[in-house]
Amino acid sequence: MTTISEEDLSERYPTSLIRGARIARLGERYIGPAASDATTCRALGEDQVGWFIGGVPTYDRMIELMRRVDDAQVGGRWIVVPATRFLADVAHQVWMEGSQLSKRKASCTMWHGDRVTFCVPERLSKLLTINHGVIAGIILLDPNCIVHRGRSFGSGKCRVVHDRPQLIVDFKAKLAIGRWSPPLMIMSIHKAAAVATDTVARNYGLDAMHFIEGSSLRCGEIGCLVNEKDSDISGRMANSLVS
Amino acid sequence: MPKKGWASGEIARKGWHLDSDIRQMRPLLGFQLPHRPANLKAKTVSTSSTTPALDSTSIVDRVRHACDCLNGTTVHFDPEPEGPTHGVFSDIDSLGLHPETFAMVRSLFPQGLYRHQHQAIAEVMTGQHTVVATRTSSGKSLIYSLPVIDSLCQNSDASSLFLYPQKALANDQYLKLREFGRLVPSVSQLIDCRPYLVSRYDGATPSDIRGQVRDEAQVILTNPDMLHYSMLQYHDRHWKRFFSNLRHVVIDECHEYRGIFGTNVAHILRRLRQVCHQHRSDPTFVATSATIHEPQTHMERLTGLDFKCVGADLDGSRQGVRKFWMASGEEHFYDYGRKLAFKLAEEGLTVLAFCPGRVAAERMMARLLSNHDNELPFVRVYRAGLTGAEREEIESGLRDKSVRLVFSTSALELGIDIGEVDAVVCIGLPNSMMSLWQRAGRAARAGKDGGIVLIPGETPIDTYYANHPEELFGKDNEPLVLSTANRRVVCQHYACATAEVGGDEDSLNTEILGEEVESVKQARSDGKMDLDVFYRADPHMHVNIRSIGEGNYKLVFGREDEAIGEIDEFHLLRESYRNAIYRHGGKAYRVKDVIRGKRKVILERDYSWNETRAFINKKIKLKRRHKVADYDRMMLATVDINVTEFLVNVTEKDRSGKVVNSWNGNMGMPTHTLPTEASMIRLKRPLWDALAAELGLQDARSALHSCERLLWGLFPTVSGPCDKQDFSSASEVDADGSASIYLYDMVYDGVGLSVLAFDRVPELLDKAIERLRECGCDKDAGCFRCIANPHANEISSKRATLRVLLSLRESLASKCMVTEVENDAIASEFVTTKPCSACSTMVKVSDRFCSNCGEKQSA
Repeated sequence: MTTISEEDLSERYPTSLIRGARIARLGERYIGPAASDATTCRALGEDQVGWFIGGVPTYDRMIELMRRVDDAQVGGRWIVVPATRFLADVAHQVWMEGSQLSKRKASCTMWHGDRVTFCVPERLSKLLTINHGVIAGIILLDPNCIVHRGRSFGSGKCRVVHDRPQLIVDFKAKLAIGRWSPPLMIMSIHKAAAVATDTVARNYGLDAMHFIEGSSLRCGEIGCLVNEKDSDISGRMANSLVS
Repeated sequence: MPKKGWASGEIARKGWHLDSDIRQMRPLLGFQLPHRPANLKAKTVSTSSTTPALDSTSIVDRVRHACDCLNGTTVHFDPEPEGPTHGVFSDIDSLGLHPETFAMVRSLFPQGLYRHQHQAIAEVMTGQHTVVATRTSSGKSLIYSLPVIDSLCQNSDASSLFLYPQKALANDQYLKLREFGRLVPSVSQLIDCRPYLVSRYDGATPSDIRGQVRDEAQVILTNPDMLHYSMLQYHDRHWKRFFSNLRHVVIDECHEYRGIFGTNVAHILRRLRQVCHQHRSDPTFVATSATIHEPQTHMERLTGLDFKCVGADLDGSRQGVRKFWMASGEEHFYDYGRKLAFKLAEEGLTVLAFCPGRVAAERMMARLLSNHDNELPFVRVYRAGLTGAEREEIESGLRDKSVRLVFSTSALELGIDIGEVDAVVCIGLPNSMMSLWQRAGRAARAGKDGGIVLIPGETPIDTYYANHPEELFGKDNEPLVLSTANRRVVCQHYACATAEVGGDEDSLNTEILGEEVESVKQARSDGKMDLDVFYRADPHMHVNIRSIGEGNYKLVFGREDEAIGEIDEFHLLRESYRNAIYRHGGKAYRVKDVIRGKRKVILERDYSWNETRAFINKKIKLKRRHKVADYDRMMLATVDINVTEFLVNVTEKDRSGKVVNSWNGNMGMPTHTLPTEASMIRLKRPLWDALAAELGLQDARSALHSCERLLWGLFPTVSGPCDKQDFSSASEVDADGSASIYLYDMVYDGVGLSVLAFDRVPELLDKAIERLRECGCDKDAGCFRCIANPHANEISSKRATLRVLLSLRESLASKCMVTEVENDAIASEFVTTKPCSACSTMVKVSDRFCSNCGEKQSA
């Protein structure tokens, strides 16, 4: 079966924008550094292995990390999926704080930065119709790690069903190049040992997960100082499509 | 070419019917006569979906007409019809029956019994263990029913055990046995006094009556599972009376006891004999089968007893005209078969269409429904995985003719009473000769005519037989593979037998249990075998008699988790994987989740007409070599291996064949590991490097896989007939730079089948080369009849494949050293875990990833 080419990988991962400490799930024993470079992302994509980043201190921290990825303005686009609409609202408020645009709509389910697109699971299929360049990966922001449990199955033709994990699985599958597909990373405030990660992996169609210590997670260009939120946000939203 | 053993010299008058005789023999021959309302005698042919009038043209002519009507039909083989045959009768005076039994038989059969019935019953009455292997619908059930009823007349305490491979068969025969017993006054009286005198005792028996059955029953119909789990385990507590009076043990459809199931049943029957010996009874064993190779040898292996055989040469039954065709159309064989079967049903015939597998059967049904607005009440699907109620509904529908067309798997090969079938269509040639004759035996029963149409599929072996049909019909039935030497199974049954004699291993009757048990006992006495299996409190619960996995998964649907069927681990990975479209009873479901811990498959209704396909990879772990033939550039060996299968991709296509979805990876599905034995063909590194350099690495790998599939497909033509379900193949490039092809048994620890290939590799290679050279396809990528693989996204090359085959053939011409290797463990067979390379957590050898850190494990 075919797979992604080296050139394509280099375009998506010119540098390691997401880095952290890889640990074992039980005992949290340090295994080594983890970085979203081309080699690692090739392996993650071909082997259907995901990252579980547990122990991220707060949801605000998650959004801040995504901003740093966006600020780097290199590599492929990262699709950030807030677990619920409420979390999407919060993320949008935080992301747009200070911007005039934030006053226009009460809620939002999809918006784009330079290298990051926020989108709720229900609208992922719409992303497939938008030309957004190459996709580097999918990052699910699920602070309480509950999305994987939200699978209801229909028994009748007309019943509306919610199956967010399947939406993410299908979206990821649509982005596949041969046997490679963009890696899936799940961020949670809960540590891996406190979560049934086997079930999480199964629901997201992953064969295995690497565990990253959330407090060690760094994003953006290497050498970037840890800053407070920059108040000048609106200039970043050159291609903003708030909906 | 008439089948061996048929009374080919007997030619009946045209139009001769057997109705009057058949009605008399009805309860004994085990079928229902069709009801013929007066208005159905008119000669009309209707194409509507309501029950049409029966045509006065013969069934054979109508089948021929249907074939002729389908456009583009090519008939590959059109032999002369077989039969009809007159009955050959023998008088019953010499049988020594009880007067009441004698009177009953005389009144039912004034002409006497068929010759083979007489012979077999005479043997059984003298206490001779007997196996009857006459054709279908030859009255075999009378052979075991009559002695049982007679023994009840002679001794009202006598008991008998009837063993059936499936519950459905037992249910069928139970009703007939009771009816038969009612014909004899003293037995009828016994039944009045003891309502449970004749009883089924299996998983379906309500628990509130089981106590009464145990106390009262003297004729018990059961299956090997119940015999093992309940009757033998508690023989002392609940079944003393029954076993101490046991006179007959009846084993119906004995050909079903093969492979791992047969191996387990062989040990169970020996344990039964040990229990009987403890209770001082010595029952006579009676076995029956319609299609079996060397029946005597098979029963002797199954029971450890000497058997007399009443075979096809003594068959004196009356049979109707049976006509075979081998035909195909211009379109895909699925479509041709479906259309032919439907045309026959529309003509008013009752048709069984045997399909290559469950998925094919469901697809046929779905396609028909989609062409007829989902309104075809007389068409059904029959296969394993349906609920008991669904199966019974279809069986009774066939009997009363409300169901006229059934797309079935091999599940309907067995003798469940489904009334008279007019035509059998085999869509794709059956896996084995036994299967072919079982299916053909569904038509032309009890003196009625029948037609059988074989439609070859698109595989190397089907194509071979389409070109050489006389070879197919000239073949013998396959030898039934079972091996009492399977060490894992022996140990399990050793533990069970020990529990049955009160826990004292010294009390084991190894003369009855067999030399394998004796050798385990010896090893245990010497302190050499100290496994956990011998120390379990409930050893019976740890024996999986039928399948090679840990048990089935329930298929559940709807809010209340309604179970619509079951599926075993092997088929789970092939049919009901995550995101699969799974068909059941003509309806489509999407597999949403597979929960390993709860053994559940969660389904949701799907309304698309898409199809999904799973691509499965295998990893082979070589454990031990036994016999090795070492050549300069290659090696042949018989080996023990572990085969681990895992899902790598699921593809969904719409009706036009366009891919609409594709999911990579295992999707959380459990892997399937099978320890077994195999024949290995290894291309040593220099040979493999040379081929890779000449062909390119990618083409060489692809050619290796093509060779593997060809050898697998043609294995039955070389080593002797065998059941395709019992073996499989794999190939891979090893870490040391060599490449290997494996032919392995699809049974835990093997049953000695694939190792037959070790001595026949040159012939196998010659056949494969011949197939490739003779294939009519003009593309280098080949076709499904030679090397194209519909189950993998891989481009094959005839040129490259031929090169590899010829290299192997040339290598066999070099000098060779054959050695028997003892204790050559590549890796200890008892090592099941190893430390993870990243976090040092112990992981199972068969796991691909560490569950504690996600690190990918090396092979």
